[in-house]
Formats: sequence, structure tokens, C-alpha cells
Amino acid sequence: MEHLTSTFQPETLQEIFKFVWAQTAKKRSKEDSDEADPEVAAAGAGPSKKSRGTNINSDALKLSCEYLRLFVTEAVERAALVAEAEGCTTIEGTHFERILPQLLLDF
Amino acid sequence: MESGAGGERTRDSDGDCDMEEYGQLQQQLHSSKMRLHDRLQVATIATAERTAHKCGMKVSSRVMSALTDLTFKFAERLAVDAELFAQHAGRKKVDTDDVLLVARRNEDVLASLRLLAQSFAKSKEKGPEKKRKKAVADVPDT
Repeated sequence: MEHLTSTFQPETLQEIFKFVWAQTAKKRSKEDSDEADPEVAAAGAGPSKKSRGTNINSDALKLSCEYLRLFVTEAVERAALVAEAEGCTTIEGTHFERILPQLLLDF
Repeated sequence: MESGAGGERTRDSDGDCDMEEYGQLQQQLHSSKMRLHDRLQVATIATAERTAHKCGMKVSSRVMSALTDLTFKFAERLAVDAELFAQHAGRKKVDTDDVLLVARRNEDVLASLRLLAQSFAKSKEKGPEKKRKKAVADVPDT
């Protein structure tokens, strides 16, 4: 049970990915229908596009989970280093802010 | 997509109805996003606390919520990038290579992820190849 809640779940990540992909697909189809005749676009591209939505391999999903885990652990470890240098035992916002620019450049 | 087409039609005929529908749709979208956000938060907090515990540190709640937001945005960006890479390769299915491409900037991350991807590929090969190996085992290697 501990193990289940302590890591990033591939299922959760899959849902997030699907959510993002659905949004981008919707945005794209809206742009298409704005350009072309709306009724033609709705009739032609609608159902076929939905069925061919982006999918993900289970290995790729696990890899993404590991990527997220690395991101979070790296963030906390770097912030902990800064907090330790200042003699604190709790990571505060200021410590986090200090490591944020380099962290975002690294990932 | 069908509901989208319906929305398009109502917009042409009746503006007020569409606005209401659009608001509801937006609300639904928001709530489902929040639900995903919460699920990610559980994992983020658990991971962060475990890491902090190893360093003998505690993490303040403000940092936790910031970190969760950051992780969610990170996951969203990962999704967009991986999809684009897959599309560029002419695929509809995101593969491990696409995720590795997203992580291309950081050599250390890339190396560790590549190792993991290889272990996945190996474990997949092992299933069907075990039988083949047994058959080949009779032939001496040297």
C-alpha cells in the first residue's frame, strides 16, 4: 500500500496526457474549422480525428513517471542543500526560489 | 468531437444557449483538471517527503503546493512535446524514444532514462526469446 501511494502512477500520468492531448486536438480542430467552411470541417474531420487521437506506449508512460520522479527528487535535494547552508531544517519558499531557475534550465 | 460539432451549430442559431453551454463545458474541464491535479499532488508530496526525509529536512506546505503546480505544468509540457515528437516521426503512439527526446537537454537524466528504457526493452524481449535461447543453448558458444 505504501508503495502504491509513494510513486507516480502511470494511470494518473496517462490521464493527464490524454487530457492535454484532447485539449490540443480540440484547439487544432477549431482552428481548422475557422479557416475552412465550418460545416464541412465538422462533418469531415470530426469522428475520424477522435478515433485517431494520440496514444501512448506503456513503457513510455513508465519512463515519463520516472522523469517526473527525478524532477521532484532533484528539486527537493537542491532546495535541501540551500536550506542546509542557511542552517534551516525546513525548506522554505526562499530556498526553493533560489534553485528554481537552474532547475528549470536543467529539465 | 461530435459534441463540439453540436456546439458549433447552436452558436449559429442561438448565442445565449451556447454561452451557457460553454460555461458548463469550461467548468467540467476545470474540475477534471483539478481532479488530475490532486492525484498528482499525492504522488508529488509522497516523493518529495521521502527525499526530504533522506536529507533530514522538512518541506513547508507552500513549497509543496508550488512544487505540485510545477510538476503538473511539467507533465503538461511533457505531454505536448512527446506528442509533437511522435507526430514528427509519423506515429500516433508515443514511444519511449519520444520521451527520451524530451529529456535530451540534460545528459545525466537522459543517461538514466535511457538505461531504464533499455531494461524495459530487454524484459520485453526476454518473454518470447527465452524459448529460443533454450533451443540455441545446445550449440556451444565457442
